[in-house]
Amino acid sequence: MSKLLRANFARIWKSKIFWFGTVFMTALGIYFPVQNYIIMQKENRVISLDSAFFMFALVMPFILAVFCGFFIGTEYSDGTMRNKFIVGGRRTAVYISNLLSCTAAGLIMSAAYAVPYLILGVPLLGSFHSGAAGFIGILLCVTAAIEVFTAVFTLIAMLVNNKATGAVSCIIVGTLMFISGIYGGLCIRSALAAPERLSAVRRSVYEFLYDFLPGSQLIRLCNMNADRPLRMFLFSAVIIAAAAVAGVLIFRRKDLK
Amino acid sequence: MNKLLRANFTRLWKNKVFWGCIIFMVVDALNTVISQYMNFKRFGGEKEDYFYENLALGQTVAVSIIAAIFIGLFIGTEYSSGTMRNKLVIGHSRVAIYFANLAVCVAAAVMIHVTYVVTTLLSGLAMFGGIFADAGELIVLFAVSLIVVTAFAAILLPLSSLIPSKSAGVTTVIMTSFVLMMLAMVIHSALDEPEIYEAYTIIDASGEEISEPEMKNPFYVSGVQRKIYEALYDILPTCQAARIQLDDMPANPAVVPLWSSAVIILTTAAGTVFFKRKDLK
Repeated sequence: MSKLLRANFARIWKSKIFWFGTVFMTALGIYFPVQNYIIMQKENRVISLDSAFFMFALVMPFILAVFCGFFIGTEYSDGTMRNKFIVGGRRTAVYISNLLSCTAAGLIMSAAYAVPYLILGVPLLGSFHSGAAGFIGILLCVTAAIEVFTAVFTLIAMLVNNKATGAVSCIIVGTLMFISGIYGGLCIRSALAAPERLSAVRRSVYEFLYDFLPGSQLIRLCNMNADRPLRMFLFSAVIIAAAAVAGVLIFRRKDLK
Repeated sequence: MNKLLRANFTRLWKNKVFWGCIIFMVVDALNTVISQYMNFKRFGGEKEDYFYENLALGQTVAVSIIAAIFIGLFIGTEYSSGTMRNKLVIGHSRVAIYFANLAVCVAAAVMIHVTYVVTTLLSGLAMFGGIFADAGELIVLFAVSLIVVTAFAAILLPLSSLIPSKSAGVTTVIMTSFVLMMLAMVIHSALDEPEIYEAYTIIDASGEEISEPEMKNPFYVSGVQRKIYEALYDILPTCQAARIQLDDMPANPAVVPLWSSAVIILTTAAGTVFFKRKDLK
């Protein structure tokens, strides 16, 4: 397992898409505080450091879709996957090591946003307004919601052994998850605004989906708007676990040729 | 050229992605019309408010993404399966190959678009019992939308033709169409900002009167930047598609097809020139 991870990390450091994503996230991490500072000066109002800190959550699913699709797809197209089995890597270990590598890449790219954001943001915009507990809660929820996307992309990329089809599937599924969450979240919110018009069953289904859908979570979390962070976090954890278990089980039986 | 076209269309009819796109558009159109009909039943009002004339053209922007998926995979396969080499070996010129590919991509994009339009109109006709649109206006908008969809294909084909790796090509094409779509949204909302916030007076809960004077909108785009945004709003096909979808056509609607045609000619010229020079290995 540790050998598989080491080999994967050696590939991450050489991956152009990884570096492209990291540079892009760094650029965003510089752009937001500077832009907010300019608006603050122009309009003479206060914009807190909190307001744009979680914006990376809206970009990460798309970058991860491309990264996971290519990073894992290459294993099939270049025969890396076969080599791993020949040297005795077990399928479960191969799957988990790939999931962990994609997770690590996602965390590094997120950090590439957060670090310059804080370095520039603290002197320009001041410190955080929200309390430490609430902030850490949202940070954990955001990390889990992004990890949901990573787990789903890993599942797709590991099960589709054509690189192009895998990459496209990741992008399409990611976009659908994202848009259905945003659109569904909006519809549900307007329906929940008049709860007396909904039947009890429908209402509980809506409330469940509102917190369950990863896109619906992300769009609220990036505005630091979470009434029930623990519930969101648990839902994300369930999806991640389900995707990982399903992925391992199917991958173990898959005909890899 | 004839042979190339025939070969391409034979591949098109067998292409699963193409049929997937067509089925997606049918489902999407039915979903739109049925949900509009359910809203009509639920809230009542005029049928025209639910089955309005632009509804059938309501996915013109999305066609750019759907077409991108198709074009990226369809042209990418030419490289990965060696079709491109075969075509060159039996003596077809590169220009002919490019134009035959353009023809099939345009045809596919148009068919995907028309599928949505026709399904919306027919299912709407069946459910609402009529099409409540000025036929002339609808036909003009539809004709313009066909040119815009052609421009999508013309922009995406060069990218796909110049990147020999199928996976890299298809990702680049999809991401480019995403970026073009985002640009359309950003430009539309920037140009939509009013120059001045009107003065207003409200009475709050405690009965106190609050009035705000007229204020300049800091997000109003002015000067050179506005000129650039306005030009892009005219030129970019995704912006044009948004204009059709939002019924925000310029005073002279001929501007849209003229710019689309210019985009088609330019991208095709650039595509053929680079494709001719490309080292295909």
